[in-house]
Order: sequence, then structure tokens, then C-alpha cells
Amino acid sequence: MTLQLHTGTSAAAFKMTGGIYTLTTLELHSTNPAQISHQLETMVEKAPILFQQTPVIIAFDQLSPEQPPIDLYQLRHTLQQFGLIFIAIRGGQESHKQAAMMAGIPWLPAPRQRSGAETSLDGCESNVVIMQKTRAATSTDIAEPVQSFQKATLVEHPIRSGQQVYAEGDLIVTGPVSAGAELLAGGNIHVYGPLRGRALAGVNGDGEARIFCLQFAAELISINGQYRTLTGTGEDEHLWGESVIITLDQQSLHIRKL
Amino acid sequence: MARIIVVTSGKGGVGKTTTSASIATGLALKGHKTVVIDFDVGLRNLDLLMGCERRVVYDFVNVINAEAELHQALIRDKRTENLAILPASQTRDKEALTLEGVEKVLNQLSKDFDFIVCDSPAGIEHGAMMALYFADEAIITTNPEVSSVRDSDRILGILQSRSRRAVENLEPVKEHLLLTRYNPDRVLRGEMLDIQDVEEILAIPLLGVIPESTAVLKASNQGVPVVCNNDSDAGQAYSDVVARFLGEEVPHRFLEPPKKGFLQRMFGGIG
Repeated sequence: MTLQLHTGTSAAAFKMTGGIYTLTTLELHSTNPAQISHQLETMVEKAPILFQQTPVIIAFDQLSPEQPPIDLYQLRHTLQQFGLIFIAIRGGQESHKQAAMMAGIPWLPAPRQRSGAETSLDGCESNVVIMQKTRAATSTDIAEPVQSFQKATLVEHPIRSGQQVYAEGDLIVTGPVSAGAELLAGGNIHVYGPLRGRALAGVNGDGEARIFCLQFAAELISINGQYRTLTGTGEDEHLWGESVIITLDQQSLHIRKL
Repeated sequence: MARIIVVTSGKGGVGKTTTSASIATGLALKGHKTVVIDFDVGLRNLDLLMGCERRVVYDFVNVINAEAELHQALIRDKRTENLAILPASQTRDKEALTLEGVEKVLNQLSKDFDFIVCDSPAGIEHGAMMALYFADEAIITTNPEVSSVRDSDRILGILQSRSRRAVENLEPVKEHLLLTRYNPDRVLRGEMLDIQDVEEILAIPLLGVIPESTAVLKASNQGVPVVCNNDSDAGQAYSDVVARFLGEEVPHRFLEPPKKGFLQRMFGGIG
């Protein structure tokens, strides 16, 4: 959800907003500059338009400690030659963190190891069904384009109160979505049934994402962080129970009958 | 192999124990060897409703902890020889139940019984999870009011995602909706949700509707499952539910307000 801080005066010089962006991560397995340079060369040859002012994060977490230290200035220069802009480093040894500080580059902590399917019975809060395409450990020879084709996630059973479903791309639900259930999708959300819970589309910053449903009775709808709660009374009353499409336009959500 | 049935709801006070007692007794009366287990450790009630509270010596937790043999803890019902009760412990808490322990007991019972009815405690915590984890079928006990329906929906989600059948990717738990404390008069007055509302929200097949009845409280206090009271509406409704559960086609009853006599209509007698 987008966080907005307004300064109060109408003639503010800027507005601070927060957002979530997908970034390319370069996971280093070697610190040999020639090797890195060579691999980048072959990648650019294959896909010349892939890298154009592309921001990247250099990840050190998969790098073995035996590897010799790397010159960050030199790495930045090498990447720039291939159209990559090095914006931050992630993980690694304490020395990497200090080197980043010296070079004026932001340092990010390594992501925590994600555990597998949550099957533990202790603590029932974790009744979360996460349907996420688990990506195989990315190695540097597979380029990860910023906008890649994402297969839609299909759910064919009812989504009950307390359940949460996340899809990186589009999310299609053919059963009912109960009050107290939550749908999250990087792309569009389609519900072929009643939508009584929450639906958050375009959660990774896609303002073009839409929400479709056959029977509209949602508690909350959101596209790219702009959200609205609904009661089914007043201005929403004529839409209640109808088939609707929800779009984001000019920072406001529009609901109209299909 | 026995069929393991969990009677659950999420919300408390909706009639889980009443239902467990009546369904277990009903199945036994139809000639099926049945055992009913009280999973509500620390708030032992099932034995009271079954009228065997003074015969409890060992309990479920004793068996799990190998402090007693299963046959020592099982109480044979006095009314029906096909029925046994495995009471909960009143002095322990729900943490005393472990998946391994529960599984061991269920496996042992499976050899001797056709049906194992698990009376779940309220909530979605450890005790409720233990009761539903091994279930093959679930009877979702729901009152016709919004919070009960919401909690039933939550329990259905847990059955779908955290039961053994879900975790091991087996055929999903078979779900049945049992609407209890249904009062057709109050539905007509708009004070209660009607059957269609509940069915639409929960989207699972309706097993039966038990009318709100004074016979239920009376039966609880007497320690006789209401299904044994064939003169009462609730008792008959539970008999229908058991028959339906066993695959018989029985029409739903008690869905309309009872017809009032001439005098009652004249003087507005109690509905």
C-alpha cells in the first residue's frame, strides 16, 4: 500500500511516497572481473536491448568467502559499460558492508531463507495459502527481465475467511471469496463468483491492473496501493451484487458495471 | 478402516457437543460401531451430555501418555451397546494432545469401530487443530447468525489447508453443513439468517437443520442425547441427519414455523 506524507501546505515542493519495485539482482558467484565482463558481454549479445539504464542490485549472499575481494568501483564501471546501473549491494561479509559505505552505495540485508510449505500445527495464525511461483535459484547466466511473462494463478476452490492468496501475475478465482479472505496479485484479479473479501491488484506497482468480479460485495478493493473500503450502502448500493470492473484512473478507483 | 468425523464450528456454544452426542448415538442406534471422543481437554462436557460423568476413571490424555490402556478409558454407553465414549481430561490443558498421540489412539480405535466422532473444542487453536487434523469428514455446526457463519467459513479454510488430507494432498475432507438452533419464526421476522443465506456464503452441502428446541437443554441436563427423544422436533431432526449422513434420502423438516391452532391464532399464543 502506498504511503503518502503530505506536508500540509498546498504549495509543497515535493510529496514523499513509498513504493515497491521489482529490481534485477545480480547474484555474484565469482569476483573475477574478466569472468563477469565476459558473461555480461555474451548476455548483451543475445539480448542487446535488455539492458538500458537498468538498475541492478549486486548480491553477495551466494558468494563463497574463499573468493578474493572485489573492487566495487571497478565493478560499477564494468556494469555501466553494459547499460547496468549499480544501485545497491545486498548481503555478504562485514567487509562488503563497509566497502559499500565507503563507496557511498546503499547496503541491503540478505533476504531470510524462506521456509517451505507451512505445515506446522503450532499457532494457527499461519493459515495462509501462498501460491507463488517459486523461482529456481537464479544464476547470473539467466537474465531476469524487469517485465517478464507471468503465468496466471488459477484457484478453483472457495477462498475462505482468513485465507490469503498471492499471485505474482494475474489471479483467477472460480469459487466464492468469503468475507475476511484476501486476494493479492501483481497483475489483475478475476473472480468468477461472489467477491466478499478483500482484493488487492497491482500490488507490485502496476496501476494498470484491474479487478473483475461476477458478484460484487467486497470489503476492500485496492489497485497499486490506492484503496477503498465498501459498505454496500449509499453510492455503492447500485453496484452491490453486480458484475463489475474496477480500474485505477487519476489516482482514484472507478467501479462500473460490466 | 473407520470413518473419522470431526464436529467443529470455530465459534463456541453453537451445539458441537450436542451434535457429537446425538450423531454418535444415532449411528450406534443404526447398528454401527461408534466411538465419540471429547477433544475439549480441560472443559470436559461430552460425558455430561452422555450421562456417564460418574463413570470416568481414565481419559484420553491418560491413554496418550500411556498411563492407561485404551480399553480402560473407553466407557461403554448404557443405552446402546455399539457406542463407546472416550472422555477428555478435566485437569489438563489442550497442549497435552500431540499429533503422534492422537494418531496412535485413532489408529487403535480404527480397528474396532466403524465411526470415530471427534467433538472439537471451540476456537482454531491447538485443541481444534488436533480434533480436525485426521478427519475424513467434517460436520460444520453453524447457527443462523453472521458471526457463527464467519467462524465456520474460517474453519472450512483451515480444513482445506491444514488438515492431514490437505497436507498430504489426498482427497479433501468431505464437508457437511449442519444448521442448528434454527428458528423459522425469527427467520420470518428477519432476526435470523435463512437457510439460503448460510448455504450461499458457506457453499457446502446441507446435511440438516436442527430447530431451536427446549428439548435440547432438557436433554443436556438429563444426560440423554436429544436424538433419543423421538417425541421432540430436535430429536427427530437429528435422526434425519444421521439417516442422511448414511446416504438415505430424507426430506428436510422443521423449516417452516409450526402451524398454530385456532385458539393460539386468536390469542397469539407462544410461537
